This record gives sequence, C-alpha cells and structure tokens, in this order.
Amino acid sequence: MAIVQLLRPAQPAATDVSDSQLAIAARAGDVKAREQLFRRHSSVVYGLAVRLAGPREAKDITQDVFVQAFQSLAKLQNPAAVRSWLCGIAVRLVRRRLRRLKLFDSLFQRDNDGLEQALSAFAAPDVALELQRIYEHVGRLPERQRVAFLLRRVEGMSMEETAEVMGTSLASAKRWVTAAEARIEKLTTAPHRGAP
Amino acid sequence: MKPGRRFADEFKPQLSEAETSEMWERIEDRSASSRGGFSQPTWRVAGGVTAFLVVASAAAFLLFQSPTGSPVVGQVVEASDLAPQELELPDGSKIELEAGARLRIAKFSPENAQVVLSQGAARFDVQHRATRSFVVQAGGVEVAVVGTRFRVSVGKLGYAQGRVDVAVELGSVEVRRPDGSSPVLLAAGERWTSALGVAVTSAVAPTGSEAPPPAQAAVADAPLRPRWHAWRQPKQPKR
Repeated sequence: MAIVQLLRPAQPAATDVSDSQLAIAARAGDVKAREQLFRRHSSVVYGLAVRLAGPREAKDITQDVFVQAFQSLAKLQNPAAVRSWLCGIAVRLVRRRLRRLKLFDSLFQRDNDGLEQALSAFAAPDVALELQRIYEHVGRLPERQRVAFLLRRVEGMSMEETAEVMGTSLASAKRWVTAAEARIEKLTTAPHRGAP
Repeated sequence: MKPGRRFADEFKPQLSEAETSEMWERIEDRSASSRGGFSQPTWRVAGGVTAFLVVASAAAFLLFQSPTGSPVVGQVVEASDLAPQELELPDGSKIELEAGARLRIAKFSPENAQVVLSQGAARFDVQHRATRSFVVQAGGVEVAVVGTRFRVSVGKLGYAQGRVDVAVELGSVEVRRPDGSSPVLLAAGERWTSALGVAVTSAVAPTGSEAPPPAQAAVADAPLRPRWHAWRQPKQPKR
C-alpha cells in the first residue's frame, strides 16, 4: 500500500539523509523520499514564489513546482543540487505565469492582493516598508527584468546563479538586472529627494 | 536600497503544517497518474487510456458520494463551505464532515483504516472491531481509535492555525504526536488540543450507545467554546 506509506507525514524529517540520497530514492520511485524532499524544500520554494509572484499565486506555483519536479526527476543531473533545481523550476513557472497574467493585468488592473499582509506578517517593519516600496515598482518591469532583479536583489543570488536559474547567459542576466535596477532606483529615490 | 542586501533572509513566508500536508495531498493526487516515470511517447500512447480513466474516476467519485457507495482508497471527500457531508464506511462507521472540511481515505481494509483530515472538523462514529485499527491523521497528530465517537478539527485561521483539537464523546482514543512523546489516552468527556499537548477534562458529555443526530452533537460541544476562548484572555494580576 504505497499510498498509505506516503500519507504518513507524522514522521520527523530524517536530517541525516542527504538531498542526494533522497533524490536518488525518489527517482527510483520511493514515495516516502518524495514526501521528505517536499517537506524539506517546500518552504524555500514557497518563499521564493511569494517573493517573485506574490502570495496569491505562491501556493499554486509551489504545488506545480513539485508536481513537475517529480515528473522530471530523471532529468535531474546533479542529485545533490535538488534545491537549486527546484528553484529553477519555480522561476520558470513564475515567468510563464507572469507572461500569461500580463494581458489579464492590463485588462482588469489586477493588484497584488495579500502581499502587504504577508510583508507585515513575515518581515520586520523596516524591511517590510522597503520591500513594499520596491514591489510597488517591480510590477511595472518587463517580466525578465522583474524576475532577474528579484533573484539578484531580493533573493541575494549571485549573477551567475541568477543566470543559471533563469536559463540564460550571464551577459543577458547582467543586462536585465542592470536595466531593472536603473528603473527601480529612479522610481524609488525620486519621490524622496525632497524629504528632510 | 542597500547593495548586496539579502531580503530573502528577512522576509520568509512560511507554510503551516496543515497547509503543507494539504499541499502534499494535492501534489500526490496530481502525481499519482504519472508515477512510474513514463517517457514522452508513452504519454501520447496513453492519452486515450487517461481519458478513459478520467471518466472512470468521475464515475467512481459519484458512486463514492452516494449513500450506498463504498469509499475508494485515496479518495478525497470535501464538504462545501455551506453544508456538512456525511460518509458511511462499509463497516457501518460514520464520518460527518462539517462545512468546509476535507479528508482523504488513505487506507481501508479489514485490519486497518486510515483517514487524513487536512482541514476543518469531522465527527467520527467508529464501529468497534477488536482486530482492526482505525487511525485519523490531522496536522501531524495521529488519533488511534478502538470503537468510539469523537470529533477532530484542524485550525485554519489566526492563532488556531494548524492546531488540532480532539474531543471524545464516547469510548476512548489514543493521541500520538510525531515528536515521540508518550501517547495521550483520552476517555469519554475529555478533550485534547495540540496547543497545550495535554488532555483536558471538558464539557463533552458521554452519551449512550445511540449516535445522536448531528445537530444534537453540535449542541453538546457548544459549551466548550467559552472555556477555550478563556485561554486567550490575559490573566488578572494577583492582589
């Protein structure tokens, strides 16, 4: 009864089992290993999804990431790098969603519901305020610039990591981040120049 | 913005245990059909089979929802936000899902039954069978049953998010936690909450062998609420 084994979330995470071992077991069809991978990395993927796409989309994205990951475990070349592999899938899904939602946004003036509440609930007040100002402007960026900027400046990834998870060249990643930073900098600093 | 600052360390939205469990169930549901790692051509060939299975699953679901239908292992039952839903198992045990509740039949055999309550509350009226174990999983807690009537709920909002409450109306249950601590045995009239981790005598009154109608059961539970709300009140300073 594989399903029953799978549905025993009460077991504490086996911290002595590496990501690599879990990934190999999961690839071989071990459903408990899959669940452990999910429980170990779901918060990272969810946090990334919230920061990239907002709370409203984050749960669906997290779910999609793991469904897609489990379907393509055979393509995982480096089992030790499960975390960055999952983040790469998340970024691809976020980009796809952002492209798809662009038209919807322009038609219905969709705002980012829940982000303010999430910021106030999970971030210190000064961080929340600063991020809120950034997110106000990030939404106006083209999809590639938006994701590249958030990966580099909010996730704190290196430029090489940013390029890798976006599946692009280092030069392109740098160009997008630079363009986004210039625009964000202009938008965020301009209203405050006259402040005491 | 300060260059090089890592906001991700300071803004970490978290999923509750209940949300994680629910998400895992959904992922498992979606992954179930593709488990085994089919190749791309196999997917194309299997398209017709999948379509057939979708239709068959829908039929099975409708059968499952009917009063005389048998539960399908792996099946998810969800009560709408407006009305409760009743479910009768083949052995005569009954589960009443309160509005908004969601559960999954993880296992059902003559020796072992396992139900996962991922959200909301449900009242269980379990037929006694000496050789069969009946376990309800909720928010990382296991409630093991011999033969009894009890209610389990998983908190969804605010301070109660992820909190599991167990109230026994008849018989006894054993509550097991994943941290390896000793199981807690609850008798009729006792209630347990994961917020405290201890059994607490409450106003849940033991009843006779006849199962009360849902409306009566809900009334019997009602006096508990003021008691539990009292835990949130600030303590009066001693004079």
